Amino acid sequence: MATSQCYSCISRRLKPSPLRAAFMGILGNRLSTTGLKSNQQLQPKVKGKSSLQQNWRLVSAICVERLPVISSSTNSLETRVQELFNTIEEEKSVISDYEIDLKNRKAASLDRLKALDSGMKSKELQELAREEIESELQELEEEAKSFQAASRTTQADEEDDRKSLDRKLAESLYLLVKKSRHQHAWQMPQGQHEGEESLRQTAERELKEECGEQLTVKFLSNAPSALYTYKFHKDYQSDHVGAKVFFYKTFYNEGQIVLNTEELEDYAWVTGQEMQDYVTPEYYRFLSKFLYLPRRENDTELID
Amino acid sequence: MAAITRAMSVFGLRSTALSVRYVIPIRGDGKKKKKSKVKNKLTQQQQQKAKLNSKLAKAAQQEQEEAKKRKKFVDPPVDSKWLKEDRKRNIQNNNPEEEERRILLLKEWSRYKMNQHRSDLIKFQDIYKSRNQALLQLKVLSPSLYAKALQADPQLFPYQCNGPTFTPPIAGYDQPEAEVTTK
Repeated sequence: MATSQCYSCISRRLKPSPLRAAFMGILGNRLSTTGLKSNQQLQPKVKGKSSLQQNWRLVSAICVERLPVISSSTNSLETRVQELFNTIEEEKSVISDYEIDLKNRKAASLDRLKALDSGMKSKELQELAREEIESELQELEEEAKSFQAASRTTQADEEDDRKSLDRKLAESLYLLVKKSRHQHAWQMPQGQHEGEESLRQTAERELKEECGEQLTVKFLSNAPSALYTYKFHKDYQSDHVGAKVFFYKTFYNEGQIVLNTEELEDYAWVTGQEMQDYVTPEYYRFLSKFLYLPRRENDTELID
Repeated sequence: MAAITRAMSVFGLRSTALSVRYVIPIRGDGKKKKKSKVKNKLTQQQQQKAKLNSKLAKAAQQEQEEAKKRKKFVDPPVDSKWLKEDRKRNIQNNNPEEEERRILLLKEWSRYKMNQHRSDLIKFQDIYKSRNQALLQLKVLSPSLYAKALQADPQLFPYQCNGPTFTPPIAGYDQPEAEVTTK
């Protein structure tokens, strides 16, 4: 089997821990791109000669995610299996007290009707008894229906209001802001590191500056989730060669956005699928490393 | 049985008919000279072993007594009323087509779930890898920022987060008080 082959070839080079061994076994062919090698802890993989010794601008970016509010809708396989599980459960169950009670009540009402009007035929009596019980049940049903749950699709869904957080409740929404330039205009809020603050404090500060004081988010750690590197155009490489953008992943808590119109033109809360229409393909590919984003359909450079 | 122990030979243990010579009991005088330290050591070892064994036996006995005193956590038995015959549903599912349909659907489900789990594991590895690479580069770029990034966040826990429901919450919903009904 391919899985065991791959595991054995890796084990000759590294000495994986039992946990990694379990991963390797499960992941099969996806071995060369997974995890860190043990010798990589001290010397990071660098492209080009001493690129890390050049002058890079340190930038913090913040990824704000509004988690789903409602459960996702089931696909066809899931609905079929759900039905099957329900029928199996019903078949394996025993008769409940309620069912016995219902049966007794039907019999009781039948007896009562017989006592009242002994002239009617048995079939008619049975019909009447059944109707009595059914009307009782109907009353209970109507009482239950008097509670109206909120709809799963909202008004914002219909209007396709990208600034609203009430949209696409079954999916995660990510915050994107638009800078006033032609290329690579849409991105996550980011800003340069200043002074003695930590990278996380930079991210917090930048979010407040760009999106207002009302927006509150929950950070998950002091450490960044990912690093995006890009080089500036040669004309602009006086101070720094490029920028190293450290991404912090956060969950939206509460508050509305009051956009800083000096720096930014626009903002939007978008799902993973919609994000492809806003950001560049490289940016999207980078974001899918640490976010659950659907795969791009026409991406030829994507290595699985 | 070449190696007959000294102890056995003292009691005149007969091994085989061939080894008749060994049957003759050695009384008393045989080993006076060689009352050596070796014999003492052996008995010492034997004594130590015996002590250990007795200690173990005592501990085992105590454990048994304590276990009896402790409450037995047994699953509460099913109420016998559910096991009576009149509670059984007599559903006859003898349709072979239906059986096959069910089996195939369950197999498809199992494959689907396995693939989901597999992709989850791959995703976890990707997330872990991307964070590690970011931290590695940060370490080289700025050791002070790296140190700050490694610090634990005291405000993270206790963290409470509500999962998704089937329908969204109704805005401005006034929950009616629960009615207590007694039968």
